[in-house]
Amino acid sequence: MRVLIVEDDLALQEQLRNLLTKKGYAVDVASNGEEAIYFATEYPIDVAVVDLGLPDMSGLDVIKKLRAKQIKFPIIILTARSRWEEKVEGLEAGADDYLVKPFHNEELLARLNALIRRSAGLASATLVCGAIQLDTNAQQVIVDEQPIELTAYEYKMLEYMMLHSGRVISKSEITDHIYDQDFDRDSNVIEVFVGRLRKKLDPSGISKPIETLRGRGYRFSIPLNT
Amino acid sequence: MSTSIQSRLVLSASFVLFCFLGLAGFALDRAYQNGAQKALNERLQIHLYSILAEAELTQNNQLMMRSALSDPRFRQPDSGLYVFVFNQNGKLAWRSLSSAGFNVKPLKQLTTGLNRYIENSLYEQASIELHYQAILEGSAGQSRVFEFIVVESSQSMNNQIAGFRSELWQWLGGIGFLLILTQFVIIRTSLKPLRLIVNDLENIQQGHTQQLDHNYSDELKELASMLNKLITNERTHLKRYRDTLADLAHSLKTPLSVLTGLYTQEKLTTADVQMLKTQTQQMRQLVDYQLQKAAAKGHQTLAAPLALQPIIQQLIDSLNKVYIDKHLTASVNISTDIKFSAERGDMYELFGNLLDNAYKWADSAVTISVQQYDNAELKQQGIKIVIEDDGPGIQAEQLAAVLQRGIRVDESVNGHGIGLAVINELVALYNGTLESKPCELGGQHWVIYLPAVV
Repeated sequence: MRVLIVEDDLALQEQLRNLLTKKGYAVDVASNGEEAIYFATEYPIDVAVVDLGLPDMSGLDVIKKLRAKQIKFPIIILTARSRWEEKVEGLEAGADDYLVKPFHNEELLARLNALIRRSAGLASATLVCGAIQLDTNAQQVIVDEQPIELTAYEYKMLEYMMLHSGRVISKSEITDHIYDQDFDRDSNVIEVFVGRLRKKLDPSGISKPIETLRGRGYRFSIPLNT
Repeated sequence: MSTSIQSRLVLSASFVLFCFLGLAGFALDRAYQNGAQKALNERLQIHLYSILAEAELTQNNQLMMRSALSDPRFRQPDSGLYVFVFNQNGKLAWRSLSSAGFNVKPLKQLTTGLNRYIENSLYEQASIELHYQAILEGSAGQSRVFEFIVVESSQSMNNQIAGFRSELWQWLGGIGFLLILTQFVIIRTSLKPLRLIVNDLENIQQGHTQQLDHNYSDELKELASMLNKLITNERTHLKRYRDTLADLAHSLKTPLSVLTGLYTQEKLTTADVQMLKTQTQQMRQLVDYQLQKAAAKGHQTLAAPLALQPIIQQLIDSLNKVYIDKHLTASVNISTDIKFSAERGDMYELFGNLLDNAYKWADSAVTISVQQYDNAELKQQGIKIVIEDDGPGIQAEQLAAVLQRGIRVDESVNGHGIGLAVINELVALYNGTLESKPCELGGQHWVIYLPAVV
């Protein structure tokens, strides 16, 4: 999942980047409103964390501008102000949730997960595709009732594929959503991850959850139970 | 233009007065002038009639005066009153003795029997001429046309008018000056209560007095009362800020002491990390609670009553967005007519915290209703707020702790955050009452009475 952090405080920005990168998100960081709008327009962002107090324009204006451009990814507001009037203003501007500073990292991660799940139209925190269960809160994957170990990138790739099961996903789309802009697109890392995921999810090679469509990409073939 | 009310009033009153006196003086002057002119014309007419009465046509068609004219000025040269009579050919037929040395010209084209007045200058003397054409008949039945010209110098009339004018403007000037002076005194006396109120405000500012306590004029009593309320409100707010700041500083000292103890340790155990987490969480709650308490304003002295329905609807829409996963049904029963004199931010906090609490705990439904109440027994009017949810509810002992006023955040009921403590503070600030009991269908039932400001 690709997350955009819009925060001008460099310490908090770095802390958020480290936290989200560690949790397997592809992270883009903007320090002001102009940059935020650029990233949101140019990159396939899945979710954004927007601080309200930015140097060049308010976070509310950024959200209003993004919504005016029909950019619909979920947005969570970060604010030091905890008054209800301000929360309502932010939600009315087009944000989907708010988090008052200071906050616990677990709370931010849970809210981000909930927003991503909600944007995919899912009610539960656990994605279920046949015998494969992915708990977005605990970031745990269970296959045939046995937990399996995945790296952060493998987990994010699986989560993205399960959220878009049944749809053809190109290699570049996967790259865009799980890596930030510095990733070398010519490498064969995606093929390697897909290979590893196949081995871990379907060691016997019977269910074949990930299909390869030559020249087009991959498809997670087991439908998602909504 | 000057910003002083007194200068503005004096200047505008003086302007109106000058305009009035100027126009009145002009009208009187014109009226007097017209009257003098008319009197002179009438005098000329009377002279003409007396001349016509004396004029006679002799048998050889010559004009003759039967006897001397009655006014002696006709016989006195250069007297200012003259008569000339011309025949039809424009030749002088008769003239008064007074006209020696003067000449006038006949008009000739006159209608018989009609007066014609002409302003003229007779040897540098301004004068009025009355031209009149008459047909005289002789005893033998013959008749002849003559033009009678009666001339009177208008010098004396002009002098009279000038005298009147001078006297008129002197009087009007004097009256104007007196009126302006009187107005100045009246305005200054009328504005005295305003100066008094300004002096009293300065005294309050310098700390000599606490309130506006003079017996002000009726028009200013309401203003003084409102200013007193504003001053009291401001003092209350200031006191609340100070108290809150003191409370915050005091309550932060305990977790800070714990944290100080922790960082002096060489290694942190898991229990220490947990302690660190608890203490920072507590500090965060303390800051939130005290800031919200300080931001609460209470009844507003000068604000218009606030419509509550749009605020509640906005909050419901926002909470529906945030708690979308819970698929709750919110039922709102509030008339758009219900208004309450309160600060907007306070109402957002009160309803926001109440609704957020209900949304957080509800299983499937939240209801809110706001109605006006009128308690005749207590002689009290205001609004009644009822909020219900179908969640697990609060246990009786926890509820008592939540509803206890002045509860410290670090003692607040686990899971209820600071929302209920803030609600409690706000209700107390508005002199309201807060009741809560379990719902019949499970969940919690909250009733708040907020009395209107008297």
